[in-house]
Amino acid sequence: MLAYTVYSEAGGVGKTTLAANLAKAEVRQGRDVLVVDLDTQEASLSHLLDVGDDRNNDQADSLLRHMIDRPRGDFHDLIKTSEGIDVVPSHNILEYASKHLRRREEEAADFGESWNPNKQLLRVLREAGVHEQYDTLIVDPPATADIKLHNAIHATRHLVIPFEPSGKGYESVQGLGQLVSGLEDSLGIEVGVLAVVPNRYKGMNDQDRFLEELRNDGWKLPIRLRERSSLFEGCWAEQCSAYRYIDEYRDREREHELDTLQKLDDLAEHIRNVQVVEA
Amino acid sequence: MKQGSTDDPFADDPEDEDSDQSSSDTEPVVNTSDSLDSPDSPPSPDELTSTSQRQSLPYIHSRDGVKDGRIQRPIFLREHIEEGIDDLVDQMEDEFGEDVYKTDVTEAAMAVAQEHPDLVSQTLDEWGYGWD
Repeated sequence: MLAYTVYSEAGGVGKTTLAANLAKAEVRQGRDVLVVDLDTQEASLSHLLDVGDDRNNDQADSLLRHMIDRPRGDFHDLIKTSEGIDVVPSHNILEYASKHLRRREEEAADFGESWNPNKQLLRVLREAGVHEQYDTLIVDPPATADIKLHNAIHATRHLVIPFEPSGKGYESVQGLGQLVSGLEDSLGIEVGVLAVVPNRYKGMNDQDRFLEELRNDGWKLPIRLRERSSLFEGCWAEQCSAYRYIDEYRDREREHELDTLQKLDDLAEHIRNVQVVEA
Repeated sequence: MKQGSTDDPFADDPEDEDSDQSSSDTEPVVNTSDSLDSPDSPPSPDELTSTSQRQSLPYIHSRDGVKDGRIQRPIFLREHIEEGIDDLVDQMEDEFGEDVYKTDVTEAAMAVAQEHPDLVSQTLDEWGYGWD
């Protein structure tokens, strides 16, 4: 199973939009896709794909309940489907993920068990047999580096990093490198980067300079996504992927927007094909 | 963090075996996880082998990844021997009917050699050791 977390240290770089559309690109290839939404912002992937109805319902089961061994039902009943993409939607209780996970850790310690709060997402997904049923797992964590992000990276071990070609964006990739190194050490894992994805590229010289610097640092940048605010704002308004938006809400096909879909397909394919390094 | 692909945390799964389930009232589809009946490993590598619970699972199921607790060692091999490792991995995968890590096969081969020094000395003899 291909598994990755879409994450950037800088906010507002189209992380969620990218995650949702990569998921759709995978589905279009006939693959079974599960997306786990850990982001509690209103503008979350669950909202974008219109599966966020239960986020305020405190009677509903939630992924966090499973992570702290207090499930209300079967994992598979958490899943909602949109455009052929299976989604474990976000729930407001995730705001308090850190508190609940730590509390569960303390409880375990009282009974002389060790229970690592950063490793519970992987446990839940494995116990549910996600890797047996899905070809692709994509996790959309919150934009802040917290325990939810740790769980996401620990479970997927791979990152796709959207970034805005600017000084700030370049620094965010560097900062993420430091954060991930710390996680690798503390969790005893290795994390691989499948792609760094420049977004809102406008073809300016200084943007090219930052892309060049990233390449010099050894990162692969398979595609560049240009500024497509009209398309992606349309997706948020209509709560659908870019593929569906162009299909259903555009009265005529716009060449540059089809080009963006092609790039998303190419990126998804590149990610699938990243040479698996022999352990 | 490095460019490219790394461990698959979902890959080192045992084939279905009946192990005691953790006390949840849901029915997991597969009963396999690092932490089903042994608590998770502590985060720091130097404690990795110190908990007795970890020893309740065989080695590949109690680790987080194939590189867990291992140090990378550059070794010098001739080409035909190196190709032989891949053949050996294939044989093992046929035998077990699941993916087997090259790293595990290589280390297992070394472990076997250490248990059977007579076989090792035989090969070294063929390579020319022991000539007066």
